[in-house]
Amino acid sequence: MKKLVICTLLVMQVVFAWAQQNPSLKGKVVDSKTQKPLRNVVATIESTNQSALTNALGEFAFAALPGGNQSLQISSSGYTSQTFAIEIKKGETLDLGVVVLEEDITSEQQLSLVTITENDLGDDNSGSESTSGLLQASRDTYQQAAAFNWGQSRFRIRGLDNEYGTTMINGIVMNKLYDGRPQWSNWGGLNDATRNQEFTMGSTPSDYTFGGILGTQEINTRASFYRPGNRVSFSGTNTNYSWRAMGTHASGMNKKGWAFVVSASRRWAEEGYFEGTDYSANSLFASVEKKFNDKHSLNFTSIYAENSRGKTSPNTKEVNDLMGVKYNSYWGWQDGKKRNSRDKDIQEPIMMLSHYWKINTKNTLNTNVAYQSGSVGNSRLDYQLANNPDPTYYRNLPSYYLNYHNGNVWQPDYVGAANAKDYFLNHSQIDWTAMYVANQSTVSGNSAYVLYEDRTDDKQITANSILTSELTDNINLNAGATFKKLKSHNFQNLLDLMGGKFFNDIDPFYDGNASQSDLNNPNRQVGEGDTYGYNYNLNAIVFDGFTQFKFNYKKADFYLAQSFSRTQYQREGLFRNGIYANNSYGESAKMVFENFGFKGGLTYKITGNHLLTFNGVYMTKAPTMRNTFSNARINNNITPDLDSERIFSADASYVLRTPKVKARLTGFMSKIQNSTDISFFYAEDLFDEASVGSGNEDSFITEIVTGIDKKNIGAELGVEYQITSTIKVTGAASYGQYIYSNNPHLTVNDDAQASATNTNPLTDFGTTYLKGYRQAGMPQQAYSFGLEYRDPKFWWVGANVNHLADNYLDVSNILRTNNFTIDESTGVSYPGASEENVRKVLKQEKFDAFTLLNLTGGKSWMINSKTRSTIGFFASVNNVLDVEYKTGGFEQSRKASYTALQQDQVNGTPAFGSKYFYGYGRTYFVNLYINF
Amino acid sequence: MKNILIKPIFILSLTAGLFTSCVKEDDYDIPTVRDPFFREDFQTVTNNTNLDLAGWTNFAEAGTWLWREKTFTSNGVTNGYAEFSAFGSGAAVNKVWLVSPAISMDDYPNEKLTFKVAQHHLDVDSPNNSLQVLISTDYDGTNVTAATWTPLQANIPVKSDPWYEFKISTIDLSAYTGNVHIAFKFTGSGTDLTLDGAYQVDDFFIYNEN
Repeated sequence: MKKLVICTLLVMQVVFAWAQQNPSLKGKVVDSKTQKPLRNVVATIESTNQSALTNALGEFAFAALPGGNQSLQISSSGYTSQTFAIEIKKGETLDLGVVVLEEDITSEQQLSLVTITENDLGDDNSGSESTSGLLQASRDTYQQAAAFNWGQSRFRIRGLDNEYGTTMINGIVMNKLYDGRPQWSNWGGLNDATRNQEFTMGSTPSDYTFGGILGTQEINTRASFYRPGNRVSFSGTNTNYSWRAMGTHASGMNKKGWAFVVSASRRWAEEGYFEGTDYSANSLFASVEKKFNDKHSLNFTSIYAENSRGKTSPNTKEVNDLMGVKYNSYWGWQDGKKRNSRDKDIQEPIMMLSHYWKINTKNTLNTNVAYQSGSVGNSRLDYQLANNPDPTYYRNLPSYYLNYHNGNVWQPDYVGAANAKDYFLNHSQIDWTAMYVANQSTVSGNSAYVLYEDRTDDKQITANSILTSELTDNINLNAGATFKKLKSHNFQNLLDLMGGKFFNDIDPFYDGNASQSDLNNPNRQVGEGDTYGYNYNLNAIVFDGFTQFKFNYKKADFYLAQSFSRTQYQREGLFRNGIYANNSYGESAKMVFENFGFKGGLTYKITGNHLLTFNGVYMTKAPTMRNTFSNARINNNITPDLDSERIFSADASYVLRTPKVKARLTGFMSKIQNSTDISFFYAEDLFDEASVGSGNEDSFITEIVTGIDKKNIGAELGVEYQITSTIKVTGAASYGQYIYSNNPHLTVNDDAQASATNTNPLTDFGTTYLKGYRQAGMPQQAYSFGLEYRDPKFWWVGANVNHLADNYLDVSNILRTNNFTIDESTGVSYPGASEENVRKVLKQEKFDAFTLLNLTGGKSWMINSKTRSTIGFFASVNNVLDVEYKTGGFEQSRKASYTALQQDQVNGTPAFGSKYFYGYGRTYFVNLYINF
Repeated sequence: MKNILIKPIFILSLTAGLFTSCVKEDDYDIPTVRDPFFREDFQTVTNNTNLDLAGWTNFAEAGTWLWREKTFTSNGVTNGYAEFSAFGSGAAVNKVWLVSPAISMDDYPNEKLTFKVAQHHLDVDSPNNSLQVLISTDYDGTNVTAATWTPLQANIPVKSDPWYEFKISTIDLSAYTGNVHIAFKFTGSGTDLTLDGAYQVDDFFIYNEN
């Protein structure tokens, strides 16, 4: 029962002024470095959620507070928040005196966060990137560990893909309708301009949206919210780029009611961490606000971020053993430069107009209109009647010769294997010259090889309104409605004829009409900039709305929220494909999904310092556009058995917050039911000769898995302990189990089986036995321990050790159907396919656990106390011990029967072995900055 | 008092919940496995010889010809099978039995028999040129005709089926106990040209269906 204020973090003065009149609590907040008063700092009494803002002089005051022991939190964006234990006495004023807030070093660290991309696993046209979820820094110890310490190894909070999170800019949801994921590159490099962020975790309530089950991130770009000043920074690193320059100016609100912010940055690399990965990104940001009067303000934000980067290939163990883990098969030398054949180019500028209306002291209405248009292109090589240019094509590698079978008889060709190895070691990159030569020596002058891009040109308009209303002293209402309209043009765009005169727009694997990509315009010869192959629009119209009631009482807070949405998708074919002459051109059926959600939660305050919280949500979610059209490139068919996902999630937490110790322990579980997974690949052994004709047994197929259930359970812990005023210890742990909880249904689409009477050539493969397999691509266990020393003279160092385990390979679905075990020609298992053997070959590969050590540090200096200019640097070294580790990978599906798989593995080096992604080795990041 | 209890109860129930709902690493489903405990795929046969696989009985009840071992090679893959063709046997009636070794029905709960049969040169659908599949629980291994044989419902190709196209039969044997023998009994004629069609048998397996 300490009566006095506990002073924790800083040297500061505390004055008690025992006065007879109100207010009952007051104080003044200043910046530690500049000693300048801080405006708009939030002071909150944690047990009652009463809060007050500081004025221009940095002062805050509470008129009346309940007596007794309370916990006061003082926080502001960009600063480390502080908690004080205080005792309020009725009729007396407690004066905290001057509270000194120190700049949050994580906001510097935030700048070093590199978006880790998922390397585009499939060959689909996926515009966005799968990053490690909402890994941006909030103040939560656990989330900070997840972002800064585990993010590099692709940790995902609660094992959830970021399509289950909601990323917003000014209340506008930025998740793409195509695949549900936000496209981070759309505002990449604008770290200064996107600093004002609010987070919610799990299904806890956000003021702006109903949200998903992972959490929400709201980036606010309202110009008057930025701290006035200038900032210039320059960074060097060896991750996906080498250099970054960034400059930002924020004016603050002038007397005429204008405020503006401008920011620009450039990031570039001739070659990033992996071979042949060039990088070039330019970003521009401008936001201007006009305050008309106390009630109305308008803000206009425009963001232009263009990003172009070379991708890196996943590789089999055979290739990595020969070439090392930094090897990338996508690039080749051309005119003395490394040219990557698989570039990703993104430019999708955003414009937003926001209206802020303070109707009265209790109600505000925020209305936004946003327009985003632009393009995403993923380049690749295309070739006709020529050899596959991929240096790692299976026939180029020793494994092909070592596993060679004549019929059922293994006939390893050791000479061929040795030759292939020699050849590959000398020809391990794409041979651009050979392709140019081949293009110039065709009989009719056509290109045999071309570079094209899978292009997506989106135009989306979004409008929303968000109402915030204080209904009573204890009840708050949030409500919102959003309308979205998207036109997404998808097409194959010819980029480079590579020395040839034209390219034939046909598919030479087919004959006659079936070889035509557009029967309305057959036998076209296309040139650079022409659309060929496929061409279609996806149109979507989405309406959604939500309401949310929050109740705050002395002992407990609770909330209830509900949402409704209506989603409509339609495909519009612009080509009449020869294989699907009657169902490729024109409009598809309109697919409409109506979805709803309910959620609620409770915070029970045992005392002001000990809380229990519970959250639960049940919602349905429309399938993404990507999963709605099973073969969108060439026909209007709808995915069979398509339906909305059903999502259930619950969590329970114990929160401890004392001035010295902050801790949170959470148990969570979520169930995602009825989800869909579509992928494209070459497969053997799926169809017998009778159904596809001799020689066509190998087919490029669409695999459609429907009715997938996933279950994620686990616990997460974050602890922060301030040992002394300068030394802090942090610990974080995540233990989860993220599995497939049922055996879903698998269907295969094979274009080769299409005909005038069979316009949807699906084959039912029955059940795929996935139950009990682990969801792949993230460590399911993660632990972190960190120490941080912060010197009063504005320098600090930190170190943390992290252990990550239970990361699994993505398993092939088709290998887990009865097609794999049962020989259709006999009705029993393939020879040798006993239960024990099948269990052994289908066992999911678990990657080795690993431990990473990271170091961080920084210092800043005041260079002019009048202008309050500072100069500083931040540096970090990640994976100091240069540990080599896998971050993900997938089984190849080509050898789809037990016998074929056995034959491919007979030598121990399969030609179609699993492909892996590796994490970065030792990387550094140094940032120099000036604030003035 | 109440507050002191809440925390440990919360943490305990969390831990308990986590442990009880976790799935072990080896606890994953796999596709259906039908791994035969009795397997005869006829891959060890010698082309154009009388069938003499170990344990099998090859017995001519009428006529002299016996079941033959045959192979056929296509695309580099050689397939072996058993065949009886009455064509040119010279016998007015051929009744020839191919009887499996004794197979125990006591080791597994849910035995299934599967095999493939094809025909060629079948001119009529008649009992006089037919293939019967039979089962016996009292066959002594030598005296075929003295045993009690019960017909099994099998998917035997008929005249209208294309020649050489194997059809799979799957038969539930879970009701049987003790040792059983399965027999393929050919009936035909080497002198009546309408009754000299041939039958081929391959991929004879017995497995337990999970």
